[in-house]
Amino acid sequence: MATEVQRKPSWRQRHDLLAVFASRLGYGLITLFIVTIIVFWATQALPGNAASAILGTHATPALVKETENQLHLNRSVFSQYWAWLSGILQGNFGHSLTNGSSVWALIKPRLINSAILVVLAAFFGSIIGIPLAIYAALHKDKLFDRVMAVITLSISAIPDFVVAVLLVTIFATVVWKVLPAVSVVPVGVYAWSTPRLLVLPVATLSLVIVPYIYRMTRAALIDAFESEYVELARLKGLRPLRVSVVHALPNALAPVIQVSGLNFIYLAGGIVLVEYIFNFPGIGQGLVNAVSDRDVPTIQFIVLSLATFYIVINILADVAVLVVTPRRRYARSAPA
Amino acid sequence: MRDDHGTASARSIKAGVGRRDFLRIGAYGTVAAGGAGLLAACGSSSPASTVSNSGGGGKPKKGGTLQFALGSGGSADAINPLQPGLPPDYARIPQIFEPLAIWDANLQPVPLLAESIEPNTDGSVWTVRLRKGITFHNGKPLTADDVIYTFQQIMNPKDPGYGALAMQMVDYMNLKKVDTYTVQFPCHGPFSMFLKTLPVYEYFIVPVGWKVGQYIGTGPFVLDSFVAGQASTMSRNANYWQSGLPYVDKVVMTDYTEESSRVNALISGQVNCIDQLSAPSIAQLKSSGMQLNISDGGGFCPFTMRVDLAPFNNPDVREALKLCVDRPAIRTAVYGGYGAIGNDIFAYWDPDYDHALPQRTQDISKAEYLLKKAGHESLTLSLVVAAQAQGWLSEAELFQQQAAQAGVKINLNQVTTTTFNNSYTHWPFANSFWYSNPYLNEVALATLGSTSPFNETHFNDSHYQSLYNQAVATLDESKQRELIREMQAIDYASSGYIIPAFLPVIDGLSPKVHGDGPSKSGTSFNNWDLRRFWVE
Repeated sequence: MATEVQRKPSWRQRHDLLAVFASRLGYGLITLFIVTIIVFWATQALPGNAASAILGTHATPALVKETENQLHLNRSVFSQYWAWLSGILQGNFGHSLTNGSSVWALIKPRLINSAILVVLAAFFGSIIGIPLAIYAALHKDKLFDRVMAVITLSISAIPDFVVAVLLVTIFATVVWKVLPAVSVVPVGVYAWSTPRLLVLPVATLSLVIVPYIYRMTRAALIDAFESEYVELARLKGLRPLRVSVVHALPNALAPVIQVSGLNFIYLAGGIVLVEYIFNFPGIGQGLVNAVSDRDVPTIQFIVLSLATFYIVINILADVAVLVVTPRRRYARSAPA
Repeated sequence: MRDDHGTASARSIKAGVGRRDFLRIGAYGTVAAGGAGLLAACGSSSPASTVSNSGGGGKPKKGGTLQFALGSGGSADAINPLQPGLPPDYARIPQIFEPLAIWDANLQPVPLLAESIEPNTDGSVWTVRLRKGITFHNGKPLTADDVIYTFQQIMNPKDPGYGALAMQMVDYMNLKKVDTYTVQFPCHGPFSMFLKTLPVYEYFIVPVGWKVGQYIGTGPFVLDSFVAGQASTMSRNANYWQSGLPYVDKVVMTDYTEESSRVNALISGQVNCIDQLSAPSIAQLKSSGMQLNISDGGGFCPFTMRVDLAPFNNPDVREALKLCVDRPAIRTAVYGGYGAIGNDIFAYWDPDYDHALPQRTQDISKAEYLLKKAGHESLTLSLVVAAQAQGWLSEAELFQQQAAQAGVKINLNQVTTTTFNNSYTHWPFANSFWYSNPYLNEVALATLGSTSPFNETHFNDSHYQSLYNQAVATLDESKQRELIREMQAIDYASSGYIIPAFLPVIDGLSPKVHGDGPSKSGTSFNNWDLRRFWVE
C-alpha cells in the first residue's frame, strides 16, 4: 500500500466519513419527500375526510359542504399538498383540522413524551442485554448460556401487548397493586416529572428488546472469539480478559451498534401499541387519533417525524459502524 | 343535527370517532326505584349493581375530587355547548353550562334555569320565565337576552347548532323579550314537543356575545384547563345559584380510549369513576370490590334495511329477517342479561311505547315460509357493520348465525366508523346505533321520508307522516298517545328496523364515591348531573 500513497487521494477518500454522511443525508431527504407524497396520497384514498369525521352522523350534505369550505378541503388535492409542503419549507407545520390549534403545539408534548419512552427503553434494554450477552459469550454452552437461550427465546415469542398485559396484571391490578396500571401523564407536564407512570411502559418495551440485544451481541462476540486474530492472541499467551476486552470486543462493536439502531427503529414503531395500552400521551396515540379523525396535517407531521427519526438513526448507525471498523473504511477508500 | 332528547346524544355520538365504544343510551322511564341500589331494572336476572344514591353512604361530605376516565374521546373533543359531538363533550359541558330544563328522576322535563315553561292554549307560543339571581361565572346576571341570544345562535342557518333541527318549529327570528326574566317563543304552528325537547343537550344557555372557545356558563363547575383528546380540570363554582352545591371541589375528566385501560385505572385507584363499559367488564369490577351502576337504557344497536331496495322492498323479506332473531339469546350473550328485549319499535322508555304489541320471537319455519313466498328460498345478503356501541360485533355475529337457520346467508362486511359515516343512510343493510329518544323525536330523525335527516331505512309512508303531524300538533296527551300507537303499529308491521335489544348503561365507581343515581336519560353518571356526588 505504501507505494500508492503517491497518488493524490480524492476528496472522498480524504473525508470518507463525511462523504458517507453527505450521501446518506441526500438519500434521506429524497426518501422524506417521497414519504410525504405517499402519506398524503394515502390520506386522500381513505374514505371520508376530516369534515365527515368531525361531523360524524351530524353530517347532512349542507353541513359537510360548509365544513369542507372552512377547512379548505374543497381545493384540489395538488393545491392542498402544495399549501402544506410550502408551509413545511417555511417551518410552518400547519393547523390541526379537527381542533384548529397548531400541529406543532399539539404534537410537541407528545413527541417529547415518546422520546422519553424510547430513550429510556433503549437504555435499560442495553444495560440489561449487553452485560448478560458478554457473560454468556464468555461461558458459551454453559448452564447460564443455555438458560438464557430459553428465557430470551420465550420472551421474544410473546407478543408485545401480552407482555404489557402481564406486567399490568402482576404489578397493578391483580397480584400487587403497587404501580399505576395506566400512564396518563397529566396535561402540562412531561413524562419525566411522573416517573411512576413510566415504569410499566418502559419495562414492557425494555423487556421486548432485551432478547434481540442479547442474542445479537452474544453472536457477534462468539464470532469474534472464534476468529483467527483472537485465536492468535490466545496462542500468544495473552490473558483471557485482555483477549476479550482488547481484541474481541472492538470487533463485535459494529453488529452491536447495528442492533441498537434497529432497536431504536423497532421502538419507534413499538410505542404505538404500548402507548395505546397504557393510554400514554405520545405520538403513537396521537397518530391513531389523527388517522381516525382524517386530520391530514397532524398525520403528515407525525409520520414525517417518525420517518426522520428512522433516517437519522440509520445514518448515525452507519457512520458509527464505519468509525469502529477501520477495515471497511480502508477497503472503501482503496483505489478500485 | 339531531334533536331531541336522548337524541341529543343519539346521533351525535354516532359521530366518527366517538361512536365506537360508547354507549350512552338513554332511557326514559327506567327503573322503578328510588332508593339506593336499583338500576338493573330490567333484568329479572341482575345480580347486583349497586349504587348509592345521594342518600346512601352516609351524610354527604364536602371536598374531594372526582376523577373520571371517559371513553370515546379524541382530538375532536370540544366544549362547545351548542355543538356537543363526542361522549366526553356530553360529560363536560353540563358541568359548565346549564339548559332551561333537565330531566327529573322519572325523565319528565323539569325547569332548571327556568322557573316555569308554559304553552298557550294550542301550543303555538311557549313562555319561559327565568329564575332570578342566577349569575354566569363572570358575575353577569342571567336574563332574557341571554336566552334569546342562545337560541338565535343555535338556529342560525349559516352555522346551526346541533339542536336546530329539533326546534325548527320555533320562529327564532321573533323571540320576544317580555321583561328582564321572561321570553316568549312563538312557533310556526302548534308544537307540543317544545318542553320535552329542551332537556336535550343542545340547548345550554350561553351569555350574550358568547363565542366558541369561551367557557362562561352558569354551571356548578368552572373550567380550569382543557386539552382536546386528553383531559380537563374543573373547580367548584363558589357562587353557584343552588347554595351548598356542588359537594366536590374538583372534577378531572381524562380520555381513556380503551375500555381495559379504564377498568385498570379504576382498579388501581388512578381514577374513581369510569363510563361506557361492556358486560364482560362487570365480573372483573365486582371481584375487585368496585361499585357498578347498571342502568337500563333505551339506546339500541339495530339492523337497518332499506325498504326502497330489493330484496328489502318486499315486506315479507323484512318480516322474515325480523323472525330470524333470537332476542333473548342476544340479550344474554351480548349484554350480559342486562337491558331490555326489543320488539322492532323505538323509544322503549317513552311512556307511549306500546308494550301491548305482541313480542316477536324467533320463528324459523314462518321465516322460511315467508322467504319462499317472496321467492327467496336461498338468500345471500351483505351486512355492513361498524363499531357502533359495545357489543356491536357479537350482536351481528349472533344475528348471522340465527339467520342461517332459515337459510339466509349473511356476509358481514366490517368497515371503520369513518367509512360507515361517510356513506351513512346509503347502506342497503347495515347496523347502526341510536340513543334513547322520545318516540316523536326519533321519528322526526329517522322515518319521515326525505324530511328525516337520518332516514337509514328510506321509510316513506304518507299516512304515517300525517299521523306524525297531528301528534306533534296536539297538546292533548291521550289523543297524542293514540296517534303514536297507530304509528307504532305501522313500524311494527313494516318498518326497516330490526331492534333485537335495548342496551344497558354500565358505569364503574370506586366504593368511596357516593351520590350517583340511575342514568335514565341515557348518559352515564346520573345523566351527568354531578352536583350531589361526594367522595369519602
